[in-house]
This record gives sequence, structure tokens and C-alpha cells, in this order.
Amino acid sequence: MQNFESIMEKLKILTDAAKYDVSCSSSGHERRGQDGHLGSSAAMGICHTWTADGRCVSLLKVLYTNKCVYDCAYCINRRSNDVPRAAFTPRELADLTMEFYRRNYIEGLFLSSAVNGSPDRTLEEICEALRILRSDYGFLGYIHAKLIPGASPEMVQRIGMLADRVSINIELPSRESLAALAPQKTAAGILTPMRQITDAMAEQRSLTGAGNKYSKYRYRPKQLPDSNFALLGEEAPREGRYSTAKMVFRGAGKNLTVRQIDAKMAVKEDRFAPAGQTTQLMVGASGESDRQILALSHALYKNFFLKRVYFSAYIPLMSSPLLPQVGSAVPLTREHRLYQADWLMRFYGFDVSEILDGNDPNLDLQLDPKIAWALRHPEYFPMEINRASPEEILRIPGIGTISAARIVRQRRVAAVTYDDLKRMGVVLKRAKYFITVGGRYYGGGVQQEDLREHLILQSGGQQLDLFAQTDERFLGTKLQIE
Amino acid sequence: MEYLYDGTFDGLLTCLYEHVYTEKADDIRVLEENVQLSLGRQMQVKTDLTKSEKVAKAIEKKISPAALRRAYRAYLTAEKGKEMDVLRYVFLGFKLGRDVDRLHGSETVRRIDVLNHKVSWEADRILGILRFSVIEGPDGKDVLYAAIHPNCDLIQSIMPHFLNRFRQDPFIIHDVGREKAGFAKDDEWVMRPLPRDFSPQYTVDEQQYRELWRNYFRTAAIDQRRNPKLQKQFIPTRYWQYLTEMG
Ligand code: SF4
Repeated sequence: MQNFESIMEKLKILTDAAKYDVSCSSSGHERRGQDGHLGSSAAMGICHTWTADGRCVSLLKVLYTNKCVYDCAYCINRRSNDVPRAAFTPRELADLTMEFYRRNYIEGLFLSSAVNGSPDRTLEEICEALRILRSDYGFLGYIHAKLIPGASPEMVQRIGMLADRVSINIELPSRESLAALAPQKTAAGILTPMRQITDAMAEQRSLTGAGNKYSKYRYRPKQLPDSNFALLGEEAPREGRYSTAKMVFRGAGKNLTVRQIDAKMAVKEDRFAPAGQTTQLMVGASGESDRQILALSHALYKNFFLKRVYFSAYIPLMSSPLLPQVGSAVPLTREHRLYQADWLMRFYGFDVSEILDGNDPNLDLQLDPKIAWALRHPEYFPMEINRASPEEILRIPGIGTISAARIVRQRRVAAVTYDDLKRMGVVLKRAKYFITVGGRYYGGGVQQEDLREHLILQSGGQQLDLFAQTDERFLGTKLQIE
Repeated sequence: MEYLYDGTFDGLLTCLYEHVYTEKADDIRVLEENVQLSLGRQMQVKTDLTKSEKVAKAIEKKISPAALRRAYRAYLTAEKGKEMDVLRYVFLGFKLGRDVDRLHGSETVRRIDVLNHKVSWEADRILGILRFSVIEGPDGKDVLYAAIHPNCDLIQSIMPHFLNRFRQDPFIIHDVGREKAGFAKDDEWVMRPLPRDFSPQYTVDEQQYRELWRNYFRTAAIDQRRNPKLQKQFIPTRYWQYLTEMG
């Protein structure tokens, strides 16, 4: 490799500049306790390694450049901040991605960028890098490209055709904070491309004829040919008939990107952002309440059909009178609770108004929002495991989607006993206070009025409390906007 | 009676056959070389493809094709006593039919769940943490080579994943402990023995790309969020040997 030293230097600068942005290589918190699901991010759901902060690394996450003409208050790359600057060339970035990918370091590329010159000028170069990857190198890995607010419609369209997923970050959960903290960005500059992406995907779904603008050939999924899995004739005799392709795991192809699947099925690969659109909201840089944040994310799912809304705990690195003090605690617990609440809304049938039905506009930092909800609604509990509907069972603390499904499945053939629940993966030390099994209640040891305290202690107790305190102190530094 | 078999899945299925038609098995173990059988207590079961085929068909028909897959996966683990676990599961299945997999409360079924989970968990992990190095092939072209040391026997479960991925480069996945490897080229692959001391010649660029990756890995961690406990929870230290970047 020529210019090894210079690539090394660029990689260092542009990784460092990109790392505070959580999306996709999701935070450790968010992954925990999700029943092994990776949600819609499953397209790049393979973790290749885990950083020292416990985050899963599946993509090469870098900025194309950190040279920026904007001056957003919260950002380490803002124009007025004195940091080393660098920019890849399209070829350099494409080579790096490809070489990492073939060594199985990564599933693909997660590319964002500062604004070098203008949004479109920067995106033009990014487009070229992606084009080299896709056309010259035949790269079928995953690409998540982050658009820059203010991108032109042509640019959005071109990038959408090359990337699996596109996103444009909202970051600040209200117009007011946007105006205060990122004055060069406008809500329109963010929402217009977002709307365009949503519409392009909807249009793509409705266009099926040959030769439409999204596909030269009509997209028609074919049965995957078996030969893809076939072995060559002879195999080590020890293996007998079960080393043959038949026994190859069903799931072995489950992590393919849409473009890999397209390639296998020999269909034309021109598709607009097949893995959809996401965005990110920053938590704790500005003063919005959890209720505002969750309501916004709910509206985004509903109106823009986003695949995910990511939350990112703001890490106070920049000093500004508008922002929490540098070095103050990072609201990690709050971020975690928001993800839990988001999860409840998407998979457990909860509504924002239920999750935050008390007077407090913020989530309870000490307790999982599901437990908090259950404690506020003693009228629904205890529920009889052998009679409650599947929707009701999902509301019981300590029972996840998998164990709920197991309960319902077994009920059809045999009554569920208390011991069965444990084997089904129910967290009994939590669930037992909210259920009866065959009419019997097993949570007798703890008085109702002590239950909250008991559950808090149980869920990490001391340590979490410590977190909660720092968080509260942090939340005390509410912003004064206007 | 203690059954001794050759360690293949067909061998295990043959054991299940004998369990019905000759004396019942109360343990099944792999026959080790140069070991004297103690007559009357132990019995060597000769793998018989007709018998194993019959049992396989019976499992598919009387229980379900999924049950056969589950039995097979359980067999791929390195767990002690997995053979008897499979036996108990299959015979419970013969009694209950396809409903057997709904009986999540049963110890026998749960055990098979656990074994299945072990295989798929490890296969999933290995898919991510396996590292290829570019080595020089016999014709001077690039070949990708990866060494793994999994608990479960899972080369065949991970080969298809990489076949889908590498259209240009031939690749080799070497299970060092089991001394065998999957060799893949274009759309096909074979399993062949490969000694554990196989030591390939790396290309010149290889070291540099490893260096770049290590550098990336170190830079990407957020200091404010350091959480080694969480890191170990995701990736048990046993697997760190794979990771170029942990070194
Ligand atoms: S435009 Fe992006 S990179 Fe530039 S200062 Fe704002 S947030 Fe930072």
C-alpha cells in the first residue's frame, strides 16, 4: 500500500470525529435485553467486535471529512473549534472499506461528513466514493450514508440509489433549540430531504412496471437456487449424509444486505435505500422533556415511516453558555430509558400517553418504564398467566416477547406452571409480583408498599442510583432558551 | 447398556435405532481408539446409513423436519451427554408428535433448546469475529484464510454466509482444533482435513491493514463511556484470541 502513513493519520482523525454519533453501532445499553432482536438494524446486525465502551462495531464509521464551514455549538467539528482536520479522497475511502470488508472486520460503511464548502459539494465526493465501491469493486456490503441538511433533491436521489440506508439527523428535538444551537441549519433543510426519502420509497413500492426510474428490470424475487448451498460431490466420509447441504442452517443467510440478496437472485440492484431511513435525536444538550422527545419520535415513525429513531446522550465536550458544562455527567441512564420506552412503543403496544401518564414529563430514571407503568396500574395486576390475553401478558414486567410467545404456545397443549415459567425465560424475581399461576400468587414476601423500593434495588440498585443522582444533577442544568 | 459410536450424526441416529431394536441405551459415548470394550456393559454401534436414514425419516414424519434439525444442531455442540439428550428428546417427540416443541416447560425440551442456542450463539459470534487474512494462493492470486477454534462444530453452518459474500476471492475457514477446513471457490465448497500446524504466507499489505484496523478500533472507543464489564459480557475473553484488535 502506498501512502500508508497518511491513510493512518486520516483514519485516526476522521474516526475520532465520527465517534460521538451513536446510531447504528448502537450503544451497549440499547442492545441489552432485546430478546436477541436487533430490530430493523438487523441488516447489519453482525457485531464484529466490541469497543472498550461495550459498543458493538459492525460498520466502519468515519466522517468523509471533518472540515466544516458550519458552527454548531455542540459539535467538536464546528468551524471555530481548533482540531486537526482531514479529508479522504473517494478512492482512499473506497479502498479502505473494501479491504476491511474482505477481512471480515466490518459489515459495511457508515459514512457521515462535516460540511466542506457546501452540502452538495461534499455529497458529490461521497457519491463518487460510493460509486467506486458499488460499480468498480462490486461491493455488496451495507452502506449507511448520512445526508447533510440542505442537500439538493438530485443529491438525495443519487445517494439513495447507492446506499442501503440513508439518514438525516434531527439532533435537536425542537425548532427553538435548533435555532439556538445550530443556527446555520434550518428545520426545512432537514425535513425536506427526509420527506423526499419517504416519498421516494413509497413511490418505489408502487412502481412495478419495467423500466421505471428505480429499476431497469421489474423487481421480482425468485426462489434462491439451491446450488448456492450445494457442496461439491465428495466430502469427508466421516460426515455421512448430514454434512450435506440439507443440514446447512436455515438462518445462515439471514444477515445478507438487500443488495446481496438482489445479487443472489440476479435482479437489478437499482433500489432506493432498501434498508430505509433513520434519524437521531440528541438527549440532554437542550431542555426538551422525555415526553416531547418521545412524542416527536412517535410522530417521525408515523409520518416519515422511519426504521429507527436513535437517541444519543449528549457528551459535553464543547463549552458554550447554551450547553451543559463541559465534563458534566453524560445522561446515559436517560438515554437507556428512552430506548426502553421506544421499544415498548414499537413492540409491546404501548403509547406515549401510557408510558408517561403521570404528572412527570420525564421517565423514571430508577425504573424500567415497563415496571414503572405496572406500578402505577395495580388495577391490572396480578394477571393469571393461564388466562391473560397475549397483549396483556406482554405488559407484565419480567416477560419479554419470546417468553410471552412460549407461554401462549404451551397453553394450547398444557397448563403453564410456575416452574415452567423459569424455563421459558421469564424473569421471575420481577414477574412474580404481577402474576398468579393457576390461581396462586407467589410474590407474598414483599408488601405492596415496599414493592417499588424492592424492584429498584433489584434492578442494579446501588449502581443505578449513583447514575440517577449524577443524571439529576445534570438535568438540573436546564437550558434557558429564549 | 453403554453405546459406543463413531461420533458422526449418522452414528448417533444408528444408536437410536439400536435403542429400539436391541438392548436399551443408558449412555452413549464416542468410541476412542485403542480402548478395550468391557463386554456385557458396553456395545460398539456400527454406523449404518440404512438405519440412520430410517430414523431420520421417522423423526421428520412423526415429529417434524424442524425436530430433526434441532436434534442435529444439538449434536454439533461439544456438550457432555448431548447424545442422551438427543435420545430423550426424540423419544419424547415420538410420543407427543410435533407438539413436543411447544412443551417449553419440559426439562428434555429445554435441554435441546439450550444446546441449539449454544450452536447458533457461537455461529453468530464467529460470523462476526472471524478474521480473514489475505494470503498468497498457488497461482499468485489472493486467497482469504481464517483460523477458528470453536466449541461447536460449525464450519458447515458458516460457510454459506461467506460464499454469499466473496464472489471474487477463494477462501478457507480452518477449524484448528478439529483439524479440518472448508475450502471455497466461486459458488462451491468442500470440507477437507487440514493439520493444525498449517502456517500460511501473508501478503505485504496484510500487516498494514491489520495495523489500520487496530488503530480504528482504539480510536472508536468513547472514553467517557468506558465499560469493560459490558465489553466482556458481549465477547467472552475466550474469543479474544481471534481479534486482531485486542492484541
Ligand atoms: S454541520 Fe455537522 S460537522 Fe459541521 S459543525 Fe454542524 S454538526 Fe458539526
